Amino acid sequence: MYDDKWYIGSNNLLKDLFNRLKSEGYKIIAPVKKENYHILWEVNEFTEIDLNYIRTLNTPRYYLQPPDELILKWNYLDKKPTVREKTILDKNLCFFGIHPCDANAIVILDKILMDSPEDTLYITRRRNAFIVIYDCLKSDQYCFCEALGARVPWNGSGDLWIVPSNGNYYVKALSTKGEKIIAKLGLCGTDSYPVINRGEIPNTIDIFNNVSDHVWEEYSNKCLLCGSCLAVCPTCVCFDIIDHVESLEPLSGSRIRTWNSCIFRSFTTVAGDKVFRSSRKERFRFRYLHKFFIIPKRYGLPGCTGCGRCVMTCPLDIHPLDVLGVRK
Amino acid sequence: MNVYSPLITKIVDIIDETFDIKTFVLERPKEFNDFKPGMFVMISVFGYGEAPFAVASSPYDKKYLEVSVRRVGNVTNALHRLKVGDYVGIRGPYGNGFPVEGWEGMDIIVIAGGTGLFGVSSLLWYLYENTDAYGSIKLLYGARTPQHIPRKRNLDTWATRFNVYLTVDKPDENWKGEVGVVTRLLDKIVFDGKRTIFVLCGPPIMLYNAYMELLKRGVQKEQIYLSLERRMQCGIGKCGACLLDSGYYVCRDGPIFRADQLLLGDIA
Repeated sequence: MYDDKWYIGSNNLLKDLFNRLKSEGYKIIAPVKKENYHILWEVNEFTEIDLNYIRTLNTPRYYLQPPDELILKWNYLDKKPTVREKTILDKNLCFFGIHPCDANAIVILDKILMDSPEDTLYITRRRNAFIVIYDCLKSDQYCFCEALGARVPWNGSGDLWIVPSNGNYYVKALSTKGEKIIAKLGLCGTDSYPVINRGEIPNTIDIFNNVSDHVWEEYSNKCLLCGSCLAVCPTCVCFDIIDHVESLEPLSGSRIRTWNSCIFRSFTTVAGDKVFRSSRKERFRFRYLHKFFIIPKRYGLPGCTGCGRCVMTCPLDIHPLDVLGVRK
Repeated sequence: MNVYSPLITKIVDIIDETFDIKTFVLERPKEFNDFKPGMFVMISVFGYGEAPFAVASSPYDKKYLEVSVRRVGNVTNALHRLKVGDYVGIRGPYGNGFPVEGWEGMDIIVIAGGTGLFGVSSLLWYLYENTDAYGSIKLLYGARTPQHIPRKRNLDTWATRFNVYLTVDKPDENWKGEVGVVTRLLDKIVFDGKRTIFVLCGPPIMLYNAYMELLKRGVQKEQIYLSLERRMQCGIGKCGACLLDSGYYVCRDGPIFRADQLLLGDIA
């Protein structure tokens, strides 16, 4: 799929594409530079976007499965509660210019949240979203997408893939939605294609199984269990559901879902204070177990795309590839 | 409809079982699907939250659903304060349930401890209605003291069609039955390890001990089924809280597992 059917866009391509998507009613989420960091943010003008970035602080998950998302409102009339479901009336989302690692992370979110029964809230946003993948211009010491075979978009990751090349752009449709946009933009096809080292998707199950017990011991003693790595992770999906009381008379409130992480003790604590993963080692190891063993076993893809955010954020510079013993 | 949206249902009766356990009899909503024995529901008390409970009533009961609840946490304390005529939210049924059809012709021994009785109650009702399809059926149940034994009326009913053995850790002066942990009841009964299905439900430590005891007696892992308990937020395999080290979601792939699916760490 990587070598055939590429189109060529001139230097106006990005602006034309932006205007086209905006005129189709999308709410455009793109990298914006704020105080030395890039974040994914809603933009109204093309000039607000800065595609010269390595990674954004937040990830597409922030929009597709937002923190503190309202699930429903409840209120009591007399003694009988009624429930009002949240209806998603937001405009359709367009992720404009995310990197392949983050687009691939959406594939993992899809696998988990669109597995039957589908997560109603996620799927409404996801099905209506348009994803423009913009290839990386540069990388840094934290990037490790190539080790996970996530340097190029996986199946189902996006709608368009744009690779900059000498002032022009190679463009490829990754979906029928993408093909339609290319047709509307009137782009010309080309026989050439960008050369990208696509790498192989590794068997992370074997890699995980080879990690010896003393490695888990060593790293879990080093780790602060602060949860930063999981808060910034584009493939983390785990959450809590909690009720907020907003008024006592009449009694009413909302039920929200909020991000939670397996590294916290509370994540497996049940009533009566039994903690199923009570040791540091078990909790530290579980993150790796989920991403490099359970997700590949269930869905056939690694649960990590090597975006590097966890390494960048970790106060102790713990690198997943060091833990797994495969860092080159 | 939102998958996280509960149905609203009325509490038609509340039965005091022990000093800290109540049974809530709920109207079964019309939209509530048929369930297999061993499946569970998420019950909401709005303002306090939602928690998973095994359906303890018979799958054949089309009018009511029963859940037995020990007062131990946030939601369960809120539930215990409710009165007949109050309402709760209910989602489900969730989980895989016991593969009862596959057990036909086999002997069945159900081993339960404490509130684990509620996890197998729907199974025991199913077996009660279908005794002809199975060989001999036995329930071994252990509680802390005689005062800790819930659903006594059900134990009496089941005892009319199959054998029910009880034991308590600490007897009182009126207790004439067995004393000691539930696995000691295995010494009191005769069973053919080759043609028996074992079903275990209870607190992690009891599950572990009963499981090890069965293995010691030469029972194959393929004959042992466990009903597991975990923290759950969604009940549908999304929130990750019940994900086991073996890679199964307790809510979706379980809560009933055949022992050979699990790692020892998943059991306790």
